[in-house]
Amino acid sequence: MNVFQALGYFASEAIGNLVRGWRISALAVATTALSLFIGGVLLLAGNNMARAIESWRSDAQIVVYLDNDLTDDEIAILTEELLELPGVDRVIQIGPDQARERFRERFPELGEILLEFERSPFPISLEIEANGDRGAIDEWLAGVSDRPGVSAVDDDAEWLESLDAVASAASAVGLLVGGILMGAAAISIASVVRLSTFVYRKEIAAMRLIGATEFFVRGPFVVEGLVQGLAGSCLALGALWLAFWGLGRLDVPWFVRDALLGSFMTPRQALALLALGGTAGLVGGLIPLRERSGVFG
Amino acid sequence: MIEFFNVSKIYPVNRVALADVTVRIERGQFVVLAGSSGAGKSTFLRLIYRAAVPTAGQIVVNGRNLGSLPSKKVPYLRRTMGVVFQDFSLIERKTVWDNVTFLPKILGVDAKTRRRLAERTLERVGLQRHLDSYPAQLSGGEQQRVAIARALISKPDLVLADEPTGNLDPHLSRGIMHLFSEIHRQGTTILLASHDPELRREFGERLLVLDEGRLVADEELGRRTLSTAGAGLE
Repeated sequence: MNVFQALGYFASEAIGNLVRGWRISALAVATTALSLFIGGVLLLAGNNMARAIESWRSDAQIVVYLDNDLTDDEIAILTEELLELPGVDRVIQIGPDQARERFRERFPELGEILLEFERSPFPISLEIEANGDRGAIDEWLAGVSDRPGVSAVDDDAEWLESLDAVASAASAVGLLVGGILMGAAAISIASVVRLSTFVYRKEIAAMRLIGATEFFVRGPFVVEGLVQGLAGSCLALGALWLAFWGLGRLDVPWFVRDALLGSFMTPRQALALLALGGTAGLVGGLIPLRERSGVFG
Repeated sequence: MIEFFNVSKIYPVNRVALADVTVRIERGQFVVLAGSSGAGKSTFLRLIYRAAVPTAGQIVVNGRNLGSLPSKKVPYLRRTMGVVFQDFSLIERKTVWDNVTFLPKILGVDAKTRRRLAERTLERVGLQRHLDSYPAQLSGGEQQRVAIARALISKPDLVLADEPTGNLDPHLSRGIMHLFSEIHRQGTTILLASHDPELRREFGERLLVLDEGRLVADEELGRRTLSTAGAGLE
C-alpha cells in the first residue's frame, strides 16, 4: 500500500470513527472552534487596533495652547521658532473664533453650551504637524511648560503611546489565552481519540495480531484528531467572518469600527488559523498514542 | 521450525507460567498442547507470536531468534504465521470479506489478487456465501472459520490456535478440527492448544502436555487422516 492509499484508508477509517461517535466528536470540534474563535477575535482586534493606531499616529497633532493676551508678534516669533525645529512640517494658528466653530462642527449636540458665552471661551492655539522625527520637538516640548504665554500642551503621541501599550498588553494576553485555549482544544481532541482507541481496543488487538504495523494501527486515530482540528478551525473561521460581517452592519462608534472592524484577516492569517486547528488536532491525535496504555504501547 | 531452549516465563507477583521448557517442533507437524487451565498453554503460544517475551531462555522460529527481534519487526513475524483464538478476535464492524482481506489490503496487494486470495480462502473454510455478513450475523462456528480464513489468507507456514473450539458445541468443534486437519494435510504446521481430550486424541499428531508451566509429556499420537477422522466440515 503506497502512501496515498494508506492516507485514503486512514481518512475513511477516521471519518467512520467520527460518524459513529459523532456526539463526542462534535464536542471536541466545538471546543476547538470556540478556542480558535476567541483566539481569532483577539488576533483581529490586535491587527485592527495596531492598524488604527498607526493611522491615528499619522494624523496625530501637537497643540500648544497660548494665553489670549499674547500679542501677534509674540505668536509669530513662537511660530517661527517651531517651524525651525527639525521634524515640524507645518504650524497652524487657530484663533478663538475658529476653535469655537470647530467645536460646533465636531460636537453639534453640545453647541448650546457655547450660547452662554458672549465671546469664544477657547484660547489661541498652534497646531503642529510633525513628520515623524520627534527628537527636537520632544526636547522643545519638555521646556515649553515654563515658558510665559504658553498655558498648556496637548500631545496626541502621549495617548497613542498609552493605547499602544494597551494594544501590546492585549496582544500578549491574547497570545497567552490563545495558547491556553489551543492546549485545551488539543486535550479535548486527545480525550475523544483516547475514547476511540478504548472503544476499538479489540479491533486494535486484532489488527496487531495479524501483523498490522503501528503505522496502520495508529494512522486512523491521528487522522481522526486532524479532521476534528481542521473542522473546528473551519467552523471558527466561518463564525469569525459572520461576526465580523454582522458587527460591520451595526451602528457602532467610529473608534470601535476603526479599532476592531477595520479589515478581516488576510488569506495568510486565515490559513494560519486553519493550520493552528490542524496542529492542535494532530497533537491531540498523537497524545493518546504516545501513552503506554493497555491499548497502545 | 520452532525451538524453545530452557524457556521460562514468570508474570508479575511470581506467577510462573512456563518453567524451563525445551522443545523442538518440526515443520509440517500437527502438535496439540494439552494441560489444565493455567498450565501455560496460552503463554507457550503467546511467546511464539511475540505477544510476550520470555523471562529466561531462547525461542527460535524459522531460524530467527525472537529474543533479538526488535519490537518494530514483530508485525513482520506475525505475518508469517496465522493465529486463531477462542474468542475469534474479529473486527465486529467489518464484513467477513473485509476481515479476511484486511492484511492483504494493508500489505498493498492489488484488488484483483486480493479477491482471488479471499475467494479461494473463504471457499476453503466453506464461507463463500457469507462475504457481506458481519461477524454478529454468523454462528460461533462460522465466526471461527472467518478467523481461520483470516489466518490462512497470507499462506502461512505455521498456524497457532489457542483453544479454537473453546466456545463451540461438540459438533461445531469437530467441524473446526476437521478444518485444521485439512489445512495441516496441505503442509501447514499446526500448533493447537486444547483442553478437550477426545479432540486431541482424534486429530493430533504429537501431544505436548504442560503442567504448572512444566513440559511433563511429549508423545507421538500417530498421523490421522481425513478419512479416519470422521465427519466432514460443518
